[in-house]
Amino acid sequence: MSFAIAGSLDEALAALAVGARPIAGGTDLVVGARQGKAPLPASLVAIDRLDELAHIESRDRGIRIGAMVTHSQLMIDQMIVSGYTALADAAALVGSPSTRNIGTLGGNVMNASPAMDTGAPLMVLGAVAQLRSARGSRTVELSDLWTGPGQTSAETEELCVAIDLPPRPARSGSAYVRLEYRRAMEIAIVGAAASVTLADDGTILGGAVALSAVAPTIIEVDDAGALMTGHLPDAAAAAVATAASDVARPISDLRASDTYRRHTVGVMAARAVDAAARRAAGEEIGVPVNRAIGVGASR
Amino acid sequence: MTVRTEQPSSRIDDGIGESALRPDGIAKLKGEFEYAQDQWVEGMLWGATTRSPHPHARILSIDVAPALAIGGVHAVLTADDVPGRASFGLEHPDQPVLAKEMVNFWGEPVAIVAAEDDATARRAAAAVVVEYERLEPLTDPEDADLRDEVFQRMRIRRGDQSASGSVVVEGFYEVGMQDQAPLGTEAGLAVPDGHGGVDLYATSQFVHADHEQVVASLGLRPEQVRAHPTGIGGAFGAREDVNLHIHLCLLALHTSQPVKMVYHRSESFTGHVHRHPARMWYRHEADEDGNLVRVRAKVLIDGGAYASTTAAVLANACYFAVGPYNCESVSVDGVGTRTNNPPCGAMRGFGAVQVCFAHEAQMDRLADALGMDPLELRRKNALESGDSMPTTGQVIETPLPTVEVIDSLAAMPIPEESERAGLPGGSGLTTEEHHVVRGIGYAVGIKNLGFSEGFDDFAQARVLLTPGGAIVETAAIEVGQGLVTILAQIVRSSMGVSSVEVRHVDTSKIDSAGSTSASRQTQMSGGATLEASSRLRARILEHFAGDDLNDEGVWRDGELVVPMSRVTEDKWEETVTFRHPPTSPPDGDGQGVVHADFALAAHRAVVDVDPELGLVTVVRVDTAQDVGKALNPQSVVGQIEGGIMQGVGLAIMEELILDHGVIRNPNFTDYLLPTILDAPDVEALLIEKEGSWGPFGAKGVGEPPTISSTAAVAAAIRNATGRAINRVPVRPQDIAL
Amino acid sequence: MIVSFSLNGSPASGRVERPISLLDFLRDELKAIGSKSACDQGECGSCSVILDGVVVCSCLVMAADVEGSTVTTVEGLESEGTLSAVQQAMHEAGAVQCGFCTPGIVVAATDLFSHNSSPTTREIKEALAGNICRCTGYGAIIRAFETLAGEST
Repeated sequence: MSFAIAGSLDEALAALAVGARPIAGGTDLVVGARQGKAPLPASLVAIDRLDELAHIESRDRGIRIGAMVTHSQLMIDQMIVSGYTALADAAALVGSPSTRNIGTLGGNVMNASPAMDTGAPLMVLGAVAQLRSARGSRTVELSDLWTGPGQTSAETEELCVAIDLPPRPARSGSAYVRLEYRRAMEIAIVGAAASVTLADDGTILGGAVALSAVAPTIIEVDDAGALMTGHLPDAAAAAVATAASDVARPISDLRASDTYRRHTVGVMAARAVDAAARRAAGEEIGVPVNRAIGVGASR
Repeated sequence: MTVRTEQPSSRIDDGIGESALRPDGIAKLKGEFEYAQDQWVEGMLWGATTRSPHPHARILSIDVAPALAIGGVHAVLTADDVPGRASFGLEHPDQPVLAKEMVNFWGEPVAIVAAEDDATARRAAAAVVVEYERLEPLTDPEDADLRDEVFQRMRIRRGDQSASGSVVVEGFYEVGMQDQAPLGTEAGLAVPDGHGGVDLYATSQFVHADHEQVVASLGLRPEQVRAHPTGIGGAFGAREDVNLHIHLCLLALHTSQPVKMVYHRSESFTGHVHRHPARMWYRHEADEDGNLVRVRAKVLIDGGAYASTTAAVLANACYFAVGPYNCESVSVDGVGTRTNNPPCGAMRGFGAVQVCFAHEAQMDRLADALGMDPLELRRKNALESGDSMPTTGQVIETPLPTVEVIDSLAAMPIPEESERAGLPGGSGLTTEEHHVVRGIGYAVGIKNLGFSEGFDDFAQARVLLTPGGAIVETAAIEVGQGLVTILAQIVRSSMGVSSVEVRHVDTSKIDSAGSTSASRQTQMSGGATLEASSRLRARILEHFAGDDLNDEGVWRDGELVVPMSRVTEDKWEETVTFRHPPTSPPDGDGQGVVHADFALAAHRAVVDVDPELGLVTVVRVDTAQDVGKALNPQSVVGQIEGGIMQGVGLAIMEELILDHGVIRNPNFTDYLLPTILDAPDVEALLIEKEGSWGPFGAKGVGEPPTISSTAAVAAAIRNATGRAINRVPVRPQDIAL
Repeated sequence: MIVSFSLNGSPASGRVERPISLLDFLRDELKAIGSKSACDQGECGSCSVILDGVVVCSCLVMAADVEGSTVTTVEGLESEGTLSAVQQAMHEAGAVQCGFCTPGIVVAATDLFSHNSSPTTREIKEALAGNICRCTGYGAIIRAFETLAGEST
């Protein structure tokens, strides 16, 4: 086994260029190795010491979240909590405190699990991924990045270095809701994120809805914006519920039947729209867990 | 070898009835306590197991050469290398030590390996080439019943079989397969003694049973094997049966080196037995006043591939099929099937859990049909001391305060609607208050204590008085329940000496204490300890013509006559084998004095349900429990809270999911255990009615919390949703769809 | 490769040849057996340690990646041979039964109380949400830390 701890981004990219696989903090690689599963890459490069990837920064057009930003950071960061609340909702639900401490947004995005919690919020918030390699960098839409369960369109030598989010319009709110059986350490049975912008008269000006765990990748409800626009939130939520059930392609697995997922995905999408619209209207609906630990939240 | 860092308490105040602190607590809190997983000796090898990937197949060939060829591998053994009895089993030795011609369940051991480290051993285990001819597995227990593939049938007939009542309710109920999921996985170390014998230090609830089975399969003389108690990370029934014990001893003797083995979690899920899944058909008949007139039941439990304790679990399920209620006309037919599913055996509650879910649902339905309050129906039919068991006809001689338990529970305050334990759907925004409906449900459960049906149930303990204080020697296993605390408390109170150390000794040094199961050790090993320490005190007082004994020595007429230093110049020890009142096997109709004692509990569950999504939060579970005498109230409450949590787990989330005999979720990601956020608040009332034969009137307390808590949660969900809820765990789709 | 780091305030190092976890490294190589292995995949918290200031499941951390780091395990939390306040509170409340989850809970609770000396019941539960206990039903654990939180206010 060859193992190196990258001291700089360039060092990391150089290692990737010759076939190393990136790891950060916690990794399921050791889990797999212990269980004798998946053959291990011969060469690993640890990127968790790259402080340059561990910040959330405000930019001219929105914010940039470094790939090494942890869920623990995301869930309490004021810019995220106030402006991109759905992402804080999701980060606060991931695993347990200790997995949130080491799980990173970049790792989450590049794992490309269809049940990942941060995926649907990123999608409705209009996020794009910044990929870098020794040969250059490029910006990728998430819908282009995620190609299947655990699969991305990134080259093996490319590293996700950041996620960029555009600025939020006035009177906007977002929310992520997750269906889970147990009250902690869960994987989404069904998840739904919504982003809503309100007009002065309280009707919806525009928005987006995305779903997790009901298709091979995180999916967007394509016509959600159109369905919601011009309607009051209640009517919009009902319309989105039907559209979400239609667009979902759930499977039956250990956790739930496809029938149950199809039934609940509509309910969940409607609840996400409802919460997002209320946040857009200024209602204080705290980020889960943060409510418990006393961190404020707004939109 | 295994050094337990236990710190004897020296507070004489910590006698019976006090919440004395655990003597092993400090070591456990500092991370110094040695568990079976933590054992390490110079030069030891690591063992690993090759397991069947099929639930049912014929073994055509086994090629161990590729495994042996791996550097660092010292031995690869198969069925041909078992020198003694080829099979083992707690009641019937029907399970192969290593599969020879057939594999009968997914994960069945086929070969074992010893190598220089864990990873190499596991690689070698994977390198053993086994050629299988796959066979169709038998996995539906009802099919097995029809084909007469059964371990045991049970028949109970009591009273007039033609009796009938004007109010009739019928139901079908199902219980899924629960796992004990103790946090410590199976682990052990076997050390050859250099003279052909072996010392075994492995996770266990019953070292003498391990000893007997190891001796038989290794073809050794009993004195050549010593099974030692070791540090245990929980048990709950999972450690009654042998799993890695014989394997470890085979490898150690074959290699002449110590061998250690630790199961990974996924292996643990196949390496131990589970709670039997059950299907139950019931018909209750009552008169118009609500008196139970007749109960008929058919109880089917699936034993899986090998016998384990299926016969005893089935018998228990049948004996307690009616619950703690009087009924003069009873018919119960039970069957324990043999399939290619994972073997099932002991788990906390041992058959009483499954039937309690069914009989309590029936009682609620009956109350509904009668238009009667469900608790009133239970009071009216309550089985009490002096009554006859509805199934066996046995007159109950020990206290059984059923009405008091029910009344005490009913009198506990019901939480306000506004009192929430968080909303369903986890800690997220999933569910808001306006989505929620509240439900409340009650259940009462009963179970035997100690071994039944004429089994010669005994426990031996030895008490010594030394210059350093009193010592209790026992082979009874401390699995976390607190026996180490209780035995010391008993000695303090009965002998008058404050410093007491409990020593876990191996099978060569003391006779059996029986299994740490059936809620029995407080009564049995506690009984032996009480008698030994009382006798020892009497002998000492007689010898020195004293009338009192304490830390300072022997006293007479209020004067110290022999100081302790002189008392302990002599060797003082007393060994006692304790037996509970005799029981007898049932007759052909299941009748007889079958049980030694009984305990019961009642539970009230309050749930919040989001009916649209089918999600449930258990807000609180209150309970009243018949404990005889609480020897250590803090420990009793700990048993009650822990048992309720496992009952809640079975009610709403814990289930091993099988697909044609294959466990689909053998890990903690998919086998959901309740977290601290899932834990309901619990208020426990300890109902003390002395008169049982346990020490100071104590009854075992470990199992009742698990028995009716599941049924109470199911009843509460039924109350909230109006759904039938005839299956646990309740799945969200059972509510939402 | 040789991995060197600070373990409970003392320098520690050992050889890492394979992609093993910090947990296996601690237990098998360094014979620091306080941290427990129960689920192998970050789902139970029995292996919790404090790594460079944050609680992590040591079964998910690659041993090679702790080079130069600071690790605190349960063995490093007693104070001068006696139980820490967190440990003492658990002892007195009867929060230990089999004890297999105990090291992880001690670590997670120590981290909680180091940031917040008087947590609410809900904060206690959130901080321990990743620590499975199979024996106690959590009641005594919650009472232990409620008592400790009450003492510090």
